[in-house]
Amino acid sequence: MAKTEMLPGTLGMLILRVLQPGALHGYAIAQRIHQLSNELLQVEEGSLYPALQRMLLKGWVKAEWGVSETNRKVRFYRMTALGRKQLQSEMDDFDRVMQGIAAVLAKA
Amino acid sequence: MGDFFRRIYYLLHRRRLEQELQNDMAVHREMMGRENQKDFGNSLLLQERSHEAWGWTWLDRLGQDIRYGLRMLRKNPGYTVVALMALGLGIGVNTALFSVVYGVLLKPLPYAEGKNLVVLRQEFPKANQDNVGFSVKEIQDYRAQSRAIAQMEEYHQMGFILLDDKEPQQVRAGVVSAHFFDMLGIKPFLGRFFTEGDETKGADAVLVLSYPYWKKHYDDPSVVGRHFRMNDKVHTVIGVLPPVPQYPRENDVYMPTVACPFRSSEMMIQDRDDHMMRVFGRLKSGETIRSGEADMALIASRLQQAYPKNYPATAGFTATLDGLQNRLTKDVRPTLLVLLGTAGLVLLIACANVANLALARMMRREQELAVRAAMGASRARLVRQLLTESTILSLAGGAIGLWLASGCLSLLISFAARFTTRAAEVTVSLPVLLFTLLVSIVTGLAFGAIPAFSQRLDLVNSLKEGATATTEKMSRHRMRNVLAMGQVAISFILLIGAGLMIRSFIKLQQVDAGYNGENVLSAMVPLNFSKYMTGNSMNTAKVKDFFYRVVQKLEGTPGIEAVAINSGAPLAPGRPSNAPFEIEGRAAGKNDLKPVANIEVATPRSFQLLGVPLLSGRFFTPQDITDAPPVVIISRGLARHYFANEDPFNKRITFTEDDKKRSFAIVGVVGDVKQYGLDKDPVDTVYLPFEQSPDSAGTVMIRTAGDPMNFVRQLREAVYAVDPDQPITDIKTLDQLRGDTLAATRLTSLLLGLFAALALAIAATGLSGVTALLVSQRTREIGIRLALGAQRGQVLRMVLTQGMRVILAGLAFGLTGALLGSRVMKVLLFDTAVTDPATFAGVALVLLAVALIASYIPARRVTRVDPMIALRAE
Repeated sequence: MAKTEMLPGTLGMLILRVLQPGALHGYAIAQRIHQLSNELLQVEEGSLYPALQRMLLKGWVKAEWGVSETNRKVRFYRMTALGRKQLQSEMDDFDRVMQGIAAVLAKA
Repeated sequence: MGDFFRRIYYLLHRRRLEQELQNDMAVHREMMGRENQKDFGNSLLLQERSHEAWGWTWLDRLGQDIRYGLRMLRKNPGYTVVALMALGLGIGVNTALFSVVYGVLLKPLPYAEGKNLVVLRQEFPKANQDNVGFSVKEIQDYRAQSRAIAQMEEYHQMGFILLDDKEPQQVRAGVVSAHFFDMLGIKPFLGRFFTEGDETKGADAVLVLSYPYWKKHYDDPSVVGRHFRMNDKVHTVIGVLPPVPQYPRENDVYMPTVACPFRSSEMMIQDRDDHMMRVFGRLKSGETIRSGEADMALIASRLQQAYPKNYPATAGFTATLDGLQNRLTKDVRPTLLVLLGTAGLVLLIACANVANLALARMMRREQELAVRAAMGASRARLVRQLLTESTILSLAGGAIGLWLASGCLSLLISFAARFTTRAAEVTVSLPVLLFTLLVSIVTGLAFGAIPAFSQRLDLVNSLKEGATATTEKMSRHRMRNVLAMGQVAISFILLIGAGLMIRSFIKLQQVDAGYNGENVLSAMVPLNFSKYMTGNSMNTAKVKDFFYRVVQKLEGTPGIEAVAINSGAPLAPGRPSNAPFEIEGRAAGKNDLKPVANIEVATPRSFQLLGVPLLSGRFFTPQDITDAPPVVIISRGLARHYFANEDPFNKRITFTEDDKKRSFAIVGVVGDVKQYGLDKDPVDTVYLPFEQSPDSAGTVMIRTAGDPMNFVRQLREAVYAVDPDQPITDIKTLDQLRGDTLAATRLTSLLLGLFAALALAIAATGLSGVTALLVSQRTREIGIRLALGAQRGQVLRMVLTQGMRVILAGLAFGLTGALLGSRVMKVLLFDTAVTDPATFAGVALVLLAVALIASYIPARRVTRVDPMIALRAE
């Protein structure tokens, strides 16, 4: 089960969450999510970059220049204060939805 | 908000950010590639999808569409030029007319709170006296009693004589109460306006110049403080008006009421019946025209009760008011709206024509579009592409139209100036530009939509080379026929409009006005009332002396056959002076209305000079001197109205002036003269001999041998020789005066005719195009027919019959439309029914002939078809 589909609407939250400890470049974000999900989740580039552009526009992340492990100039994405707030609210929403789903699954 | 600014930032730095993103993805791919060779996918597509998040893709696509569209238009110069011409003309006439409609009808008056300004009006409808004006007493009453009108100011017009120039000049003076300009809420362009101090008796004489007069003669701020010698006084210029429309007519200068000796005479101030002034008002805020009307009606009924003698019930008496804006533009509104409607129809024809061209072009572009569709372009994208192309075309057409419109605007302004003083305000202003932009875009979408949506993507057939006529092509062909039919129908409507107007013009031109103006020169000689007055009335001896000396000088001049002195020349502009009269011995009830007649002054030669026929009795003779019994000549209309069954020569009529009765014997009856307009009925007229009643004389007429304009110098010299301070104005031949009254109708006919001709030309090219395409599409079939032995004449008839169907259908629709729509023309027409059968028949014939020729020319090609080549063609 190498390529589990992402739950719709959760990609942004996951990106923000992995950016919480510090700035990462695009590939590292995908890698982080992949590792942390015990290699269950795979972020497609076709979703990652459009999502990052949207988040840049919303002002949740900002891009800054850095150097990759392969010694290439590349943009690192850093979460902004606005992004932190967004992450919190998305996590809260997600918790509530999960609780709801869990409740239904348990009782029905 | 931050979102919005970041979006703009992304728009502005699009190129750099695209590169950065590309770099990010390249690094990503590299790092991925090191670990395992997973496919990254179509990186270009991924990038584009990422850009979409910025929200500017539409702009990029629009840019692409525009570049592509421009390329396509450049590649088809023939189509582009024809379309640009049709659209430019169509949008141009609309822009020009809209700028006039906006400047005259729509734009708020350039006065403060212009919508609250009103014009007051008093009428005696049962005595046929509309808009009689106001007397000083009445103005006082309305001012004191009105509840709805905050401020009322009076106005009347006088002619003054300016003596500072080389030659004495007649200046038109508006005489106004002190706060007239304050009421309008305008600020002086230079200097100041009047104050109460200027309006007190004995104050120094002051002048305010109108803007056009100042601009024309001085154009210099130092004019304020200058002294003008006018009539018998020196007047000081205190200010200049800003450029604002003047109503009821334009004046050169303005003066306070004390400047007018008539207005400030005790007699005028006391006489409730001397309705000389116009009254303007400003409604209190919150009041409406309607509440103002009610207010006026209430005051009128109170006046009627208080002064039954002045406002007899038999005359009826009403007082009301109109918005100033409405009054300023009332005369021009119907003409302008008809013209704008006409221009709209011209644009519609242009649209249909270009749509037809575009449809024809679509047939050739089928393959290109099919290829694009096959490569993945969506239908919406293709439609957008086609609409972009047509909008580019129409915007360019709009630019051409704007250029055309600003070029011919001055012509239209002088046209509108014949109807309204607001014409001077017409410019190509921002709203006009917006209108043109809007019209251009709508036009582009309209004519673009027809080919774009008739495009059904039939990939397989279109890609196959040489695909034969499919049902789709047939449906498109039907669309072309419908468009051509529409053009014929609209042309018909426009031609009817123009035809009716021209017919009305011709009828007006042919009106027998009751006189013969050939070789007659007339000039107004407005006497300086300060010089020729004694006390409150004209000094008759002085007036007679002046005119007799002028006549004497002229009569001695070779080439001048006859000289006459009248109060006014026929069809000269100006208001008639009229008076009520009584017929002696005819019992009149106490409250009966007195009949009213226009008063004209004439010399013994006047009638022969004008060719006015004597119907019975005699003309004036030199024996009708001051001491002889007073006599009058009456017009045929008056004789018919009041002496139908009697001999008028046994009757006397009486005029009452200043409570004194003057009784006159009727000595002659002359033919009716249309004195005040070819489209108006002649007015009952009483002619007084100049010798006995010279007061209102003011026009000199001469009949000459040869061109009357050759005698202008002699006329001037004769007048200046008698009185060098006497101005002469309006030196015109009677034919010119007659021509002036026709000018507005002539111009309207000309404009409508021009539009109709334009429409006809566009429609004719449209019909040609349809037939040409029909022929080229059926070349093969025609070849077969010819090969099988059909005569060329037969084939030609067959093609023409098909074209005829389109034309006849168009005629039928046009006829219906014209019958329904021509009634809007009613107010513009003279003695012409809106369904005038001759016009309808004539127009139908002209249109049919033009349409036949237009389709015959391309149809003729079938006769040149070589059956062998035609059969090989496909």
